[in-house]
Amino acid sequence: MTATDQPQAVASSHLPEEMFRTAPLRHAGLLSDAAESSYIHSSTATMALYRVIAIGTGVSWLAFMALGSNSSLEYLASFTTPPDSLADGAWWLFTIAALATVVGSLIHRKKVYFWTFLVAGNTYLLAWLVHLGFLVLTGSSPMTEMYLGDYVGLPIAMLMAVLPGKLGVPLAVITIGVAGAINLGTPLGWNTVLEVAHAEILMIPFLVLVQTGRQVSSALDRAASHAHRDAVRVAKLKTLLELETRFLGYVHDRVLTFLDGVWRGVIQPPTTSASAEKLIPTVPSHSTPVELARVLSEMVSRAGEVAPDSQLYVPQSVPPEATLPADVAATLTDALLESLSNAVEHAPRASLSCRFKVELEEGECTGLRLTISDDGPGFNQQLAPRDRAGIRIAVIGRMQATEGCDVSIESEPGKGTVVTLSWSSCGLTAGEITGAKIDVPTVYDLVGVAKVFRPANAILVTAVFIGLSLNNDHSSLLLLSMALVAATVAAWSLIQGAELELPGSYTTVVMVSVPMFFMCAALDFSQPASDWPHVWYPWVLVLLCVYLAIRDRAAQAWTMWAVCLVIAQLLASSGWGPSEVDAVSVATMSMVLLPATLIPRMVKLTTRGLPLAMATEASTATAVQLVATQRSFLGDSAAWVTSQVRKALNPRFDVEVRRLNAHLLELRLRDSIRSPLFDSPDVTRSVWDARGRGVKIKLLDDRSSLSDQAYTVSEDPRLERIQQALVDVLAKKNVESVTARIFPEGRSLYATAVVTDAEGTWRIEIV
Amino acid sequence: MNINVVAVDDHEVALIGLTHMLRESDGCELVGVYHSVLEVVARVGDASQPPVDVVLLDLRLSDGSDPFINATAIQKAGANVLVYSSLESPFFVRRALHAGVAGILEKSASTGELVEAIKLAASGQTYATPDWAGIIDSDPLLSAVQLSPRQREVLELYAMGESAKRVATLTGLAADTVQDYLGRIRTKYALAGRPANTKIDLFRRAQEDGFVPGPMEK
Repeated sequence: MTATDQPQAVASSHLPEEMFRTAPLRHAGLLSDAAESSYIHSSTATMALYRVIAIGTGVSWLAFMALGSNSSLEYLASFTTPPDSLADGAWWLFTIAALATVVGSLIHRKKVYFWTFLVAGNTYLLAWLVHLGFLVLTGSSPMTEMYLGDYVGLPIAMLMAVLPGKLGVPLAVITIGVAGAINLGTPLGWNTVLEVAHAEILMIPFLVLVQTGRQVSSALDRAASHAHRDAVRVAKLKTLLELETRFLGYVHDRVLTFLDGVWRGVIQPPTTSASAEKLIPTVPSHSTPVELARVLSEMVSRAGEVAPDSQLYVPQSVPPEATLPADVAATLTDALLESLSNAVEHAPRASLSCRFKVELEEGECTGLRLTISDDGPGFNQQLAPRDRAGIRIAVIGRMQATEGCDVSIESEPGKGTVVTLSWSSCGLTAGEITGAKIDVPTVYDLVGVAKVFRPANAILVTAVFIGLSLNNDHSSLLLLSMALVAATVAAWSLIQGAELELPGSYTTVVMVSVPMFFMCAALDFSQPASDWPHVWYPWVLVLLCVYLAIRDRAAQAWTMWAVCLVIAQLLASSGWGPSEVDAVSVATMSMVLLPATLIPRMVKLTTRGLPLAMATEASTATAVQLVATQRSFLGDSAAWVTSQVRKALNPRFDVEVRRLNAHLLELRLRDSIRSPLFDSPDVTRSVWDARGRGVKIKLLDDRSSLSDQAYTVSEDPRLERIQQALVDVLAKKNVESVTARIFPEGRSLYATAVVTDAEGTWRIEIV
Repeated sequence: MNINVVAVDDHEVALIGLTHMLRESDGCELVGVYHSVLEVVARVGDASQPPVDVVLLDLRLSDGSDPFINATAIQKAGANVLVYSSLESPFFVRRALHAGVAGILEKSASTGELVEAIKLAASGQTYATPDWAGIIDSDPLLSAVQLSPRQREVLELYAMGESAKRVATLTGLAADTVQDYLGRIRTKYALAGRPANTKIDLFRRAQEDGFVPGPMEK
């Protein structure tokens, strides 16, 4: 304190640091960013994909082991007794892992998916490595009879779903290839090539599905997060600005008046620190209401001026106590006048009407609908000329910016135009304000079949078909050729169309050509080969059925498959075809049809529900965010003001000191609200002390007075210069008065400080 | 001769404080305190009572009334208006300035400043302060006011915090001319005030300006 006889306000050095903390009032941008950092990343799409993978692979794995693989009997037998061999132990583990993934899909938590996929995939991989190790080291493996290669794609798909980046793809290709090579113990050679090629072309669609699905769902989640974040930012800024305005109203009405009263001796300083807290009441959060009757009457009178010939249908009477938020009233009036003047301009001879419909509940206005219709020439909304498009932009834009308001425009050439403006008190739901419209990709994109069903792949598949066919002896070159041509036609047809669903005509071609292929190949068949594929054509049949099922033609695929089973059975029974290839033997080779049917179906179902799921997630998250933002703002601001008052008026200070403190605090609060750019701890401290010495200080921030600019201007390096200049000037003892001003944008000067001291008046200019 | 002053404020504390200040002043007498503009207008127009020279008007009244409408009504009744208010959003202040009030004064002002402002307002002059000038100078629609380059210069110097004397020196104008310029700025700004007389217009204007008026304490 300075040594004078007069009582002095407390020097800043005797007050706590937080007394000079920047006010949270004007820092909506910071608050908003802080709230954003806690934003939970959207994972709806990824979770949906995980569920598909969990059910699709889990169920298929179990079905494969129990029914479809070469080792089904061994697998089922392993459960009759406790596991007493390496293979039995592996069966048990596989079963538990597959069941766990299916159960995990019911729990539907990201962590559960992650761990079940990781554990299941690695359990398989471990078994596979042990098997490989035995083969390499001893030449034989106790796990050979497990035929691990039969279902290698399923646990590998689980691993791919959780392994980072593209690591899963090479891992899957290598694992599947090696598994295919060693699966049946075939000596290395041509048949190994066939086994590997077959395993890869069978599994690649599933792997692509997983990998692409993962990329797409992750991109989708990112897009959803961005859209949501932007929407939340807008909503929060709007909320904060409104809250801020209201809060400042309270600070003005309560706090500043109170402090002024204390300073002037009208009010005794509070005797307890708790009294200060009573200053900050709850802040209301709704717009000022205006009388509905008055709003309607003004709308009618102004509509009459804009469109004198229009027919207005207005309710006979409305309850006098019914009100409408003032901002809604203003927006609706604007939109009404704009719509009317547009109608008058573009449909001058049309009959124009405007119907007002008020929704009331127990005397309160809960909704208002204005329908403006004309029977004029109308316009094509898609091809609207600029001026007509302007209606949409002007009216819709304004309406959308107002809580609870909605607008729709219906117009067709020759059929007039109907504009509906509405407001509902249910108003601002989080869903509406998010506006987070997310384009959910088509199933085709999500599944990634576009990457698989390409001409090059059809050629590759045909080459594999030919390769497989070469493993058997043939009785008729003609029948073989016909079989291969039919299979090639089917493969070529399967890559047609731009949608996931194979076009009907190509489906028909496939359904005709595949049984034809099957019959020709069966009639041509002479005898089984010693190595896999013992009989080539059932494997081709299964592949073609799988591809058709993946192209969203599951029913046709199963039908085609059944027809071929009947053909096989008939030929086997009649002796025209090989007896080894009957319906049952073909059926046991076909288990892969199950995931081929299940997975695309599930993807389709999931993507259908995705927009709703994402919108729901976004609404819930936004609502939570807004409440959190409001609480955070009010909490911070109220705490800040209360803490300032409590510290300045601390009862341990002398009454006269408190009185002076009240005055300095009043000025400090004014500054922090009126001139936020000057609200830095250093400036605040210097100003407090200088005012305590009797220096007259005026801080004018005319740059951030427009609230929406307050968040960008504070990063200007010139701000630091004027703040520092101010601190330096105020440190001088002979200063009498200082007026510092930060100019509005677009001026040649950034800021000035006019200083009067014992030697005269001079000016600091920051350009 | 004393200047008769009345005040409109719905904060009892503020009115008591004002009474204290003017009681100590020389030449100003507080002849009435009121809570609403209607009462003041009636008082100003009441020929049976001593005439009112200056009305100290709080911008934010609990009845939610518009400063523009309030100031216009009082001036029409025959008194000069000086805005005497706690800190306010520029939106409210501009509303009052568009009505052509004599100036604005913060409630934290000293007795000397208060008396000086009242005296200037009573004589029909403009009470120009950095706050007053800054509010006009930073109006986004200032170009619509059509001030001359000299008037812009005077306004900006005032907004910086320069004194009347220094403004005269810096611009090379006579002190009277500077005061005359201030009066013209005030009048031009009021004339350029966009008419917005209904509550709905007020809200629309507030939204355009980026301000939504705060709530009234009820």
